[in-house]
Amino acid sequence: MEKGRLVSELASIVSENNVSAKADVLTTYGPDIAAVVYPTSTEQVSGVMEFAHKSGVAVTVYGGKSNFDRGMLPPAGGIALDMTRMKRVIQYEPDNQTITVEGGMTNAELQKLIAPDKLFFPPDPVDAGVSTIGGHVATNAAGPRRLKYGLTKDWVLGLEIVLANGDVIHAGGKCVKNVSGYEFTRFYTNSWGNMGIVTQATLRLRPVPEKERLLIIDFPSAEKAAAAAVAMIVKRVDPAAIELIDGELAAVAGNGHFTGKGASLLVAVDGVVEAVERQVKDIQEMARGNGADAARLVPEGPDTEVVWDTRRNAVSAFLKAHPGALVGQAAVLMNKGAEFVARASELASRKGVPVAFLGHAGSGVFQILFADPAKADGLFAGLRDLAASLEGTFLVENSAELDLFKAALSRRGQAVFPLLARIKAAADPKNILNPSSKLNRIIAPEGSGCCAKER
Amino acid sequence: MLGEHVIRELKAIVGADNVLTSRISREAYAYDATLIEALPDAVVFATAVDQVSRIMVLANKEKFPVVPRGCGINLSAGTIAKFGGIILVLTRMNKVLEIDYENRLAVVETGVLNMDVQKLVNPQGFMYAPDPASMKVNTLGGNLNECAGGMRGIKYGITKDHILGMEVVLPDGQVVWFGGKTAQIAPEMDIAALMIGSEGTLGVVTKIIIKLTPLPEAVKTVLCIFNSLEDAGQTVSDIIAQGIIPATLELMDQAVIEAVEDFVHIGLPKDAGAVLLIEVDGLKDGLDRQAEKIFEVAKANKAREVRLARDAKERDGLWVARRTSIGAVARLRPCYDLEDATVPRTQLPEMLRRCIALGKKYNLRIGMLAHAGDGNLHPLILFDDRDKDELHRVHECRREIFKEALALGGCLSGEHGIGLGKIEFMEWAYTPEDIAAMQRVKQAFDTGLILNPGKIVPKPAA
Repeated sequence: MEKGRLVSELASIVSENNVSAKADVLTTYGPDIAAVVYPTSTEQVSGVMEFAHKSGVAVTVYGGKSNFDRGMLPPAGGIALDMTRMKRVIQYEPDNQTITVEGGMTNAELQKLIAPDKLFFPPDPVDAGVSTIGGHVATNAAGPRRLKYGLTKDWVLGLEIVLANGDVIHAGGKCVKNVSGYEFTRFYTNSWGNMGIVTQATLRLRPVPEKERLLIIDFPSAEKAAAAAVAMIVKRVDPAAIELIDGELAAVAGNGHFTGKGASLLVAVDGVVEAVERQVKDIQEMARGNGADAARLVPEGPDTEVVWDTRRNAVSAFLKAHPGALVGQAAVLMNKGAEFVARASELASRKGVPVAFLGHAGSGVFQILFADPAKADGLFAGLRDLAASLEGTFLVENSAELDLFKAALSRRGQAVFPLLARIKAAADPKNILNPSSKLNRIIAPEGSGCCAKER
Repeated sequence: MLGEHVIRELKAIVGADNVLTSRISREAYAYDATLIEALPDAVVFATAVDQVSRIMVLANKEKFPVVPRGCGINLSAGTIAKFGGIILVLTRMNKVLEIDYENRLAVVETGVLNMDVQKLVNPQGFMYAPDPASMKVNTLGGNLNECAGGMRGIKYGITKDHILGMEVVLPDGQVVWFGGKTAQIAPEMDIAALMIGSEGTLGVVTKIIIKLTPLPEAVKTVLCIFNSLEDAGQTVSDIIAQGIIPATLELMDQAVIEAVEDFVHIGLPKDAGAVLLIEVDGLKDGLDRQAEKIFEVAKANKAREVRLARDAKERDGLWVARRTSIGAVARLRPCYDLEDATVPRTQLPEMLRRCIALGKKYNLRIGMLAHAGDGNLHPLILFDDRDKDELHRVHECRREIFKEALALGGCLSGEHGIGLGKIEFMEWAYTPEDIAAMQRVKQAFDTGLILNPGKIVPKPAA
C-alpha cells in the first residue's frame, strides 16, 4: 500500500495524533517500517488489525522494546503498533488482590499504583521502568525473584487479546482457579506475539512481605559462586532470589558495593520477620562452608535498591561498554549450574574468548556475555552441546541467527514444526501479525503470508 | 460400531487381552463420577507410548473417536464416549521413571496415582503439591488433563503450577515433548500450558515431568467454629487482608458439619453455622505468631470457639473430617451432584448466600464446602435420581448456580473442568469469538477431530 494512503487509513482509525510517519520516529522501530500507530483503546487496536488483515499489511507490536531482540528479528516493513499509550487501570480490587490494566502500563507504574495498599506484583524484570505489562505477558518476563515467585504466567489471571483479524477475545478472568475452556491465559502468556495482542491483563497481586533482607556473598570465582547457589537449594535454604554476577560485570555496572573480583551472589530473603532472621543466619553459615570470601548483609533501606541496580544494569552497562556485544542465555538443570559455568569458562578460555557470567543461579539460568561477537561465534556450537548434555538449552538473545533456536525446537520432536505452523495459521491465516518473530521465521512456510516477497 | 477388522488391528497393537468388547466390560467404562453415560464400542488398555501412537494412526485412518481415560473419576463427564469409539485406558502406564530430589522433579508415566507419588516422596521430605480430594484414586495424567486442584491451592497453586513438561502423542500419532526439566527460555509458544486442563482433546499425555515441593518444616492447624456462615466468610477475607497466606483455608457449612460428625465422631458441634479449617506452614520461626493472628481475626469475627490442633493425631482427625466430608454427606441421599462454581474470593460470602437461597427455592438439600481462600465453592446437591421431579429441580438449580457465579465475576469451573457436563454453559461465559478461537486450536491439533470429541469446547455451528 502507498505510504500516504496507509497513514491516512490509520489516522481514520486512531486519529491523526496517534499516527506518525516521521523518519526519525520510524527508525527507532526498524529501518523499513512505513508508519507507527499508537492506539489508545482496545477498539483502536482491533480497528488497526481489522484493516491490516483486510489489506494484508504486516503489523509488528511494540511495548517497552526491552525484550524485543529476544523474540523478534527486524521487521521487513509494514506498521509498527506501539502499545505504550494504553496504560489505564480498568479495575483495581485491593481486597481481592487483583488488578486489570491495559497492556502499555509499565511494571514500575503498576508497582507505584498498588504500593499504598501494601501490595506488589511479583515479576521483577530488570528493566521494570520501561517493560510493559503486555510485554511481560508476551515474553513471560521475570527477574531475580523468579526463584520464589515464578514468572509472569504465574500472576496473570485473565487477558483481553486482539487477534490478527481484529477479533477481541477474553481468556480467564478474576478467579485464581479457572478451568473452563482451554487455558488460553497461560498459552497467550509466553506466546511471544505470535498469537495476538495483549490489550488488557488481569493480574494477581501479593501482600508485601513483612521483611526483606539482601546479602552479597563474594567468591573467588563464578564457578564457586554457582556451586554455593546449588548447595543452598539442595540444602533447602530457599531464598527469594539467588543471583550470580561476575566481578568484572559488577565493576562495569558498579556502585561501590562490589569488589570487582571473582564473582558474587546476591541472595534475597523475604517473609515473616522471625523466618527471615533465621534464613539470613543459615545463609551466612552456608556461605562460610562453601568457600565464600565474605557474606555481607546489605543495610536495609536505599542501599538495597542501589545493590539491585548493579544487577539490573549489568547487561545494559556491558553492551554500552562493548557495542555489538552478544548476550547468550543458557538454562540447565539447577544442580548442574556450577558444572556449566566451569565447562563454559574452560571452553571459552581454550578458544581465547573472554566471557562474563550473570545468572538466576537458583533456577539454573545463566547469561553469558561476549564482548567480541566475531570471536564468540566459534563457541556457540560447543555451548549448545554443553547445555544439551545438562538437559538444557543455549540461545543467543540478541542475534538474528536462528539455528540454535531451531535446534532447541527440534529436540521436542519434528512434529512440533507443522503443529506450531497449523496453530499460527489458524490464528493468523495471512501471517500479518509479527511476521518477523523468530518463531514465525522458522515455522511459516517460505513464500507464505503477506511478507513473502520482502524476505 | 467398530468393524471387526478394527478390533483385530487394535488387538494386534496392544494384545488381545488388552481389548475388551463384551457388553459388561463396556458398561464398566460407560460412566464417570457424573450422571452422564454412554457405551463405548471397545475398551483398550495401552501399556506403551508406541501403542498409543499406533492407535491414533489407526483411529485417524478408520475415523473412530478415542477417549483417553485414567481412573474415570472426573466430575465433568470428560471421559464419556458420547460418540462411541474406544475408551483408551492409560492406568497400566504407571511407572515412576525418575526422581531427582536435587532438582525437585520426577518423571512419571501418565497412569501413576497421585497418592503413589506422595508415598514415594514424602519420606524424603517432599510432596507433589496438588492434592485433589480423590488423590488416592486419580492418575497424574487425569490430574493434568483436568488441571485438578486441591486443598493447598491458595498457597501452593494447582496442577498447572506443578507440571514442568510432558510427552504427548498428538492426534496423528506423532510423539512430541512440551516444556522440560529446565527453564524454558526459547521464544516459542507455551504448548505445555495449553495441554494442562485440555481434557484429553489435544493429545494423549503419556509421560509427565512433575515438580516436587519440599514439605514444610512446621504446620499449625487451626479450627474455627462459627454460629453463622457470614462470620466465617468475613474471617476468610480478614485473614487474607492481614497478609497471611495460609496453606489451606477450608470451609464447611452446617449441613456438612452435621453429616461429617455423624460419620466420623470427632466432636464437631452439629449446631454450628460453619467451620473453617485453616493451616499455616513454612519455617517454624514465626509460625506461632501467624496462628495467633488467625485466632485474633476469628475471635473478632465472633467465632464461638477457636482451637489449635495439639498434635499430629488431632490434626489428622480434622483432616479426616474434611476429606471424608463428601462421602459423609453422600450417605444422606442416594445421589449427589458436586459442583465447583468459583468466584473472586471477596464474593464468596455472597455466593454462599445465593446458593442457600437456591436450595430453598428448589426445595433441595445442599451442603456447602469451599476452598474458601480460592473462592472455590463446592455445593453438594443431594437427591434421588429415581424421583424425576427432584432430578429436574437439580438440573435447574445447578444451571442457576453457574449463572450466579458468572454474575459475581466468577467462572464455570474452578477445578473439575467442562467436559460434557457444562458444555451447554460455555456460551454464557464466552463470546462466539472466544469460542471460535478455541475451536481453531482444537482443529490445529486434531485435524481429523477424533480425540475426545464433544468435550470442553462447543462444536462449531454447522
